[in-house]
Amino acid sequence: MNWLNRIRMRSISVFIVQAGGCRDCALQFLMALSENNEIKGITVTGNPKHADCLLVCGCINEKSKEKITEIYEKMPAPKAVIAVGACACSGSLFRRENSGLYTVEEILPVNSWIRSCAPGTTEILEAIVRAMENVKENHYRNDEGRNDL
Amino acid sequence: MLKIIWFFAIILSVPVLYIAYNLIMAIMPGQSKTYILQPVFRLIKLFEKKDEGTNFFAYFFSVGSCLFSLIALYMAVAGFNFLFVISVLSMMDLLVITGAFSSGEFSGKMSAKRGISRFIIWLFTSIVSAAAIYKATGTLKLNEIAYLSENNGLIISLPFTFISLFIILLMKGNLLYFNFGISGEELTILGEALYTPYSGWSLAVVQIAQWIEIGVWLKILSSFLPLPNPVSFIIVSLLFLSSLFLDLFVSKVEWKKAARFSWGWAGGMSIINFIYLFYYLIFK
Repeated sequence: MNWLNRIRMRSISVFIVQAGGCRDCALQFLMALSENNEIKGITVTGNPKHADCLLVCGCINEKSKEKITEIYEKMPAPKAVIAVGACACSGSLFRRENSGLYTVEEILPVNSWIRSCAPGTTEILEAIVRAMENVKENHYRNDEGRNDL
Repeated sequence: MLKIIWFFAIILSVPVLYIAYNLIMAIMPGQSKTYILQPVFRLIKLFEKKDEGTNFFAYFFSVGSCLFSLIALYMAVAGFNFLFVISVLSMMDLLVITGAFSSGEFSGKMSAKRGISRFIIWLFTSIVSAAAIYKATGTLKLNEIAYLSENNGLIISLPFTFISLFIILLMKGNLLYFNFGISGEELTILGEALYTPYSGWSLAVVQIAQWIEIGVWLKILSSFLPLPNPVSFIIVSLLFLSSLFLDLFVSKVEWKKAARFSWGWAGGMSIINFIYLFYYLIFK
């Protein structure tokens, strides 16, 4: 790991998107930040242009899909995407035939997955750091299709 | 030589204050911890990030604002006229606001609106303060004010002006009730930052400009204390540091409320001092 990557991991700005669902994943993340963890330097931002990491929680429908891709495009590279919780990773209970739900993987290149419901506080922080470790300077646009990480 | 040392010391002073804040927070029990050098890490990270926005003017405005803040710093260190420093600082602020507006985004325009209301308040306060300082000292040159103050203590005759200028410092640092929601740390969509069009290295440049601007205000405020310049600069810096801690206990208010508070504390205080001086000089 080069020194720039190390610095990048010591100041991570996270943008949370609560696409739908019970909101527990987002709450778990905020709880993780308020605890005294060994992982430090993670902050929440309300501005996608300041963000390094996109945390997607909950089930994604047609409307939130557009917003999430819009937010992703605004984020400056290098950027990471993390699918948090069962809903974001697979649609969980809510995914049925023709339900119109998407997983994060279907719309964005995902760096980390946390599949549990609800995810543990430390797991989320760990996933953010791991995702930022392996992040590459790739660019993705909605109309260009998925790119490989 | 002394001026060059001052110049670089002021540039470094504000990041050092933020680092000191993180250091004390790391020692204090029960507080959320972060890396002590996180402001520096963030800056390096931002320089390294790619800004893929289509808003080319954001780069121009960010570099321009940094340049103007450096000019203001030079003027403050060299002891230029107070109003010259204010005019250069307003140019810097206007560049940042215009950059935000030029993004064409809704949030950019909204934050430019907040920036303009903050700009009007601090400019009005500065002008009234300048008038009060001129009435008290007969000069507006910062080096002469500092010299007079070292012997007589300008803070004694201009206590409210000192408070109002300190409120400008708090407004610039987005602290206490004087936070206009343009720090970029808000969690809601309505609390979007002034730096919306800026990301990557242009945001880093604006961040540096803001640090330098805070340093300039620290230097201006240090002219009020009846102590040698370096000592008074350290005391004002410590006051700023203590307000950083006080910010932890003060709840955030909506930006329009912040503007109302700022009018009262910054504008009101400077007017009170001016009226007091006016009557004092007429009826004494």
